[in-house]
Amino acid sequence: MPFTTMNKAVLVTRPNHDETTNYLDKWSEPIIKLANQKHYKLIDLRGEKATRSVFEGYARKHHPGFFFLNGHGSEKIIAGQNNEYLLVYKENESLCAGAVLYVRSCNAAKLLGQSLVTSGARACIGYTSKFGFMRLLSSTTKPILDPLAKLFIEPANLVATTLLKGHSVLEAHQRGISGMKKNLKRMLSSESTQQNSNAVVLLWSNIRGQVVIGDSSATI
Amino acid sequence: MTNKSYQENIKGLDLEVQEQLKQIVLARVRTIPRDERVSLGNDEYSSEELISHIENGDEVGKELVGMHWKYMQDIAKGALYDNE
Repeated sequence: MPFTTMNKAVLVTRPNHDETTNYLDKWSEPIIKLANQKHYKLIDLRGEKATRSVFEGYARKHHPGFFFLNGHGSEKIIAGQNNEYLLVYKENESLCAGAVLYVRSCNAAKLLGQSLVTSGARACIGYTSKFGFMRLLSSTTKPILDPLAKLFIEPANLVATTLLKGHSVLEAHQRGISGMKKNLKRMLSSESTQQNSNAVVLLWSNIRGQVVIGDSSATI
Repeated sequence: MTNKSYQENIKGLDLEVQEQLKQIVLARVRTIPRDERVSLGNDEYSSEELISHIENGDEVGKELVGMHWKYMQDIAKGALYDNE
């Protein structure tokens, strides 16, 4: 697959079949908006469109330079709507050859992330542990207004927005980490409450789990 | 970078220490308000559900205890304030 010039296609998956994926779907809106503002060719596989056949079809046709993948996952799988497998270890990783990926799925960086790079992806930012967050039940119908979920997902969004702004994989990773650490320190400060102790542990887990695989100088 | 899983992280601990750790984590989890949920992995949990998992010592419970233990280890080492 030729990759001699900057590829302006961006493929996003955002399943929304349960509360967790619904939150990631809604919280990805600012990233979708930015991709449109920056005139990327945006392939937005939202909800029922986040299936394997659709994913593979668009990936083959458009050779996106950036894959932003949300959804449940494991060491070997990134899933889409209703947990249908989209990207599978040793099966279809070559679809992402030449691209940069940000995978917001649990554990995918442990095996699949490395395999994606071995199969030709330039770089992958992902998580070697479960990506977790806390949320308020009262915000279920308006996830983007959830101040608790914001502490976790907003800094994670910085990874994607930093890449879309043309910065390197390393900068994107660092901005995400920095954003999470800023929220962590605020929670640990005198402003914090007993209730924050669980959020702090979960946020620290996300920080520890976020890794870069491949060429950290890569840009979209 | 490879990380030991959170469950592996507590395996080597003395049983009495594991039990003390479990009690600490239970006390923390009991402070989660009723209108909050924890999304972890492919599921989300209420405080009551997490308490049940921890008390049962199942995979979810052990993972959560291991996560808290790792946090405690890292905070003691000053890792939270390391510059990247």
